[in-house]
Amino acid sequence: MRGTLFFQGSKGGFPVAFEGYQPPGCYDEMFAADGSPRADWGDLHRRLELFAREELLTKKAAAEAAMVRMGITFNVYGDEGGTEKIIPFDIVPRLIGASEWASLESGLVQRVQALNAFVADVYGDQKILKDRVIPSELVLRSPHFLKACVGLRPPQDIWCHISGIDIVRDGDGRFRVLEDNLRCPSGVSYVLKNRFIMKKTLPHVFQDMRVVPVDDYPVKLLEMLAYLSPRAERPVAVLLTPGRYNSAYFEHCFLAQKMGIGLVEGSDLVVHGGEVCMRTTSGLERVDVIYRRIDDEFLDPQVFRSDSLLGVAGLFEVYRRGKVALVNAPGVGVADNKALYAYVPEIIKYYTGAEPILPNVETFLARYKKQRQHILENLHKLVVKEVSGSGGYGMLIGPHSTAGQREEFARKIEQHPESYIAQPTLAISSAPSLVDGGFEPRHVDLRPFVLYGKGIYVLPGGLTRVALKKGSLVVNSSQGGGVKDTWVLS
Amino acid sequence: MLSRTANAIYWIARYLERAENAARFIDVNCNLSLDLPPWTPPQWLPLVMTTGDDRWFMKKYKQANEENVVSFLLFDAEYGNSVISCIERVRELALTVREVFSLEIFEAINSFHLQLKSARKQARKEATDRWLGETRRFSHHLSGCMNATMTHDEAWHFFQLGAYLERAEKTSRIIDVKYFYLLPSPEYVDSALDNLHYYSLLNSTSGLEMYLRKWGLVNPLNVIDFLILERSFPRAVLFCVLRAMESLQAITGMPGMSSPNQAEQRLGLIHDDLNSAKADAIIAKGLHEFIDHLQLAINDVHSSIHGCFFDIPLPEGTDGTRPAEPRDSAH
Repeated sequence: MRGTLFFQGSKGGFPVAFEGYQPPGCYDEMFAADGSPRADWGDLHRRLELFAREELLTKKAAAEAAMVRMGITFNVYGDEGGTEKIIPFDIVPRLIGASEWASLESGLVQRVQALNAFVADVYGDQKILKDRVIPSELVLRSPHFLKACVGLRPPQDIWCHISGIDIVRDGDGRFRVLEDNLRCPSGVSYVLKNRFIMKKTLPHVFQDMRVVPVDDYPVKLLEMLAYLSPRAERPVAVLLTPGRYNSAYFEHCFLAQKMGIGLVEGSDLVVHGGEVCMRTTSGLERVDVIYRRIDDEFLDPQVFRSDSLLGVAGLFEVYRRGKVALVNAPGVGVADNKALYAYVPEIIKYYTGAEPILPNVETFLARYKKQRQHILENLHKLVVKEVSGSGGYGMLIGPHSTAGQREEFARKIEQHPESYIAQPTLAISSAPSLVDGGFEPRHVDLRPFVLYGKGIYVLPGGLTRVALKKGSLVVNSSQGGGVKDTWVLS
Repeated sequence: MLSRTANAIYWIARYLERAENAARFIDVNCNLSLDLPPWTPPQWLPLVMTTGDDRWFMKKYKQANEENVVSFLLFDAEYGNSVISCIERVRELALTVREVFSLEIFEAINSFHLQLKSARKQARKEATDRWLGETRRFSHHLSGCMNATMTHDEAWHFFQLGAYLERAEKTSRIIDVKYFYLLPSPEYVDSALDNLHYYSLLNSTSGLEMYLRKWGLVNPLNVIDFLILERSFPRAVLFCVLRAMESLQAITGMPGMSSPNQAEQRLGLIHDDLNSAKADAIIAKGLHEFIDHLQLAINDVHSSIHGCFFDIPLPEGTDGTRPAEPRDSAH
């Protein structure tokens, strides 16, 4: 029995009860199968029921207005009308209990450690390929395998400095890794901003819940950058952005500001005397560490794409000589494509000698005949993804697809089998979201952020994305998703 | 600091000051036109002349009446120096250097830009007055935020430098245009109309009360002295030049800078000229020539600042792309 307390909110009106709240056949974060709130959520559940619906909606509107004012916006590709939008913000936080977080955290540390060892290996001795744990072609023919990086050893032998690992809960409530993002994972600024706004929106609720703080992320990030510097004296670190029209530009500004480092564009940097320098008002100044938020292929027109205007000519040679650190290291993309993902459990076993703490989602690779057949026969049940796709684009969600879409994907898979993988459609978990009518369940995922420097640090919680369209499973902001604050309880 | 960042901050200051000045000019002229005797047609053309963009204006609007001039200066998005265009640029530039500003500063810029944009859609005559006031308030609010929430470091000094040079130029321009357009013949001098015009000239700079406190009666010589040579009135040319010099010296005094440079030398010359100038001598030699010379000299300072800080030539054998820079759209 869900306790519905008929208290009135401070502004009058009816309380928002959870009556009629019905998780759509999946694990619900707040309620157990018998309809009672889970232990970690009890407090929050009680407190939410004390508010009137209008009061909560007013708070939500105020939170979103604050985001517009602060310019916490993202740019939508291919949307000419309003290019700057805020991500819809759901003021109901997502909770993770202390012990559950501890196991998630250890799983993430293990995974990132293994992925880093893997990248170092494939650009080094390639033992894992020689031992035939992973098909060589999957690595060596990947578009993200950079020949230029073979034999290269980055500062402190760290490649995967910043990872965003996408996690979902399956129908049984078990956390599973859905995707590893090792190239330029974004979203961490929303974690910090969401927290900032939540403290203003529901201060009293927040106060009593003993939420683990997240505000020191920029400090940890800066410490990590400094750890990689080739020079002993106070290092000069910069954040390299593609510029103002990039979808994550807000985040680039935010992180540069919070770390007190310069935000530079490619045209601000030059290579001079074997060093990377930035153009300042007093001439050229040496740069030691570049947290780059542009993709590998745009980094250096002399080595990668020659038409790139975003990068710096000669940068890679300086990097190869160890005179500048690049974060993340070029070439890490080899470990985060969706085909390689299927082998990550093997990778973990191979390098750590232990069983993976966090399981994968079962994955079929269309490049292999048997698996392809399985995919084609079960398109209506599976989620099909492009190996190098991201942002929720180029996906087929079988159960929600039309016959025409399935035919189109079948054709594409036959033509380019190496470009597709498929996974069973997961009943990913739901959590209560505030919508106009009150609380309704919406599907959520979680992107924790992991920093690899002197040690491995996992930001408590991470970005919870929520599919705000009723019934939708796609949480990407470019596809109508929103965000929530994630509260790890101490 | 990064050249691109310094350049952007310098231009944010200039566009902000430009927007504020445009708003002041409109405001004063609206006021003045209400006070003019019925047989005198309201003077809207001089306002357009102040901008230096009169040709562009005539091509688009044909006639310099109140409605046209106000929409030209306040809400015309096609005109690069209208209030709305200046604020648009301030915001665009602020976005490119957002990490330098405190949150208060960025929020202020972002909010005002959003408000102005939505006001434009519903622009009506009654709204004009409100937005003129809002623009001035915004400019003051932002300068206040800059002073109170930002370290007075290199970035801050580039902001000051841009703001004061822009203001020095705008004040000199308004004196020039008002003086020669409104008072073409000596017999007008000392007429009631004449006084009204001096009042409006002083008002354009918010300086009427300050002037009266210092000089009492309005006379042309003292007005020129007050608006050009006054050392303590914040919109007077000499005051602006002094503040700009302080900031420029603070910048060149920072580690790694070479001093004196061309920008300092050129600004120093302007200062020396103004410092030794006397109002009666200026008028005797020709006010227009004096101001013309002053404006050219200020333009030279702008280009020296550009060469000394924003676009330093790269050493031999270094290959770099040239960053895109904001530049003046008009004049």
